[in-house]
Amino acid sequence: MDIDKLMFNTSDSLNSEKARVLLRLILTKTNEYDKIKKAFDTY
Amino acid sequence: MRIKTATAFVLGLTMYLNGLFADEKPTVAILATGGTIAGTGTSASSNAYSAGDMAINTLIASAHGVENLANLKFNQVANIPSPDMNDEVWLKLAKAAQEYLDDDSISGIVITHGTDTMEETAYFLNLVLKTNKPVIITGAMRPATALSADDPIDLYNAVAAAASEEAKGKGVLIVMDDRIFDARDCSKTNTSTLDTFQSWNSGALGYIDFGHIKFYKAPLRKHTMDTEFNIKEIKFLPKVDIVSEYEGGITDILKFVASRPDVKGIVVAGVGDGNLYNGYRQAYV
Repeated sequence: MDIDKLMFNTSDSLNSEKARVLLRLILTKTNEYDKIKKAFDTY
Repeated sequence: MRIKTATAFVLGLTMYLNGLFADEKPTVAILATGGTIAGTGTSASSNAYSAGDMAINTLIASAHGVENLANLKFNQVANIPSPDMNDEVWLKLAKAAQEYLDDDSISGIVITHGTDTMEETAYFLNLVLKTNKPVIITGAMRPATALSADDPIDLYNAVAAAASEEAKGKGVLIVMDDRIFDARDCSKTNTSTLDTFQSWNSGALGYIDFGHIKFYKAPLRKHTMDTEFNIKEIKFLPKVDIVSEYEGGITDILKFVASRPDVKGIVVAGVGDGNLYNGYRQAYV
């Protein structure tokens, strides 16, 4: 990953440990930014 | 007179039904992973102890009356303090939990767990298990040998919740210190107090008083049956690291973590509402 090209998304009200859990799970499905963002709005 | 007759009739009917279904207690599976709840201390007034010493059958013996709530099945999945929780145990635990949940003879499950990473395991299971049955995670803040140990009542309440109708369809629940929380919002907030588990942003879903359950709300974020994740399909979890932001910025650490080829994602625990140091703030959506 290039630090200048990192794309950020809010974890909503998840703390960092739980955000990590969800990011790991959604990364088993997709690398697409919009889909990752949607997961954080859904779960 | 009429009211009395009706009451007598209802009482009679209840006694008849109780007799009829006396042998039909729900069956609850208890999956043990270790933690303080299975810990033994050096003295009753000390919090120095070794987590995960006790097997689940020894542990359950202290929860007097629990056998009246349900028929119990035991599975010692692991026996570790929860700071040692890892992907291997997570996947083993989740797969074992799913097997019990798929069994028609099981009404619900209880998972005993150390408190340090309980909220992470709860949220993981909340997203990957496919079930409407109650899945209850519980633990203890004090080892079983301590004064006013909390493991007997936590276990009793957890089994009551797992055997209940009320806890169905609410995802994975944390039952600690007479409170019921949803997996998404609940966190450990204090290093030693019995009421350490709280959902600061949304409050407890309900309360449980010696097995008597009162729910006041249910989680609205999607969980269990309504997620796109299924433990039966998960063989490996990509590596994601957490980097904490602070005064002065974390550019060097972020660069190092981002440069590692095995890291597939990064969680930045930003300041305030997730703010990052000058220069990366713009990247925030």
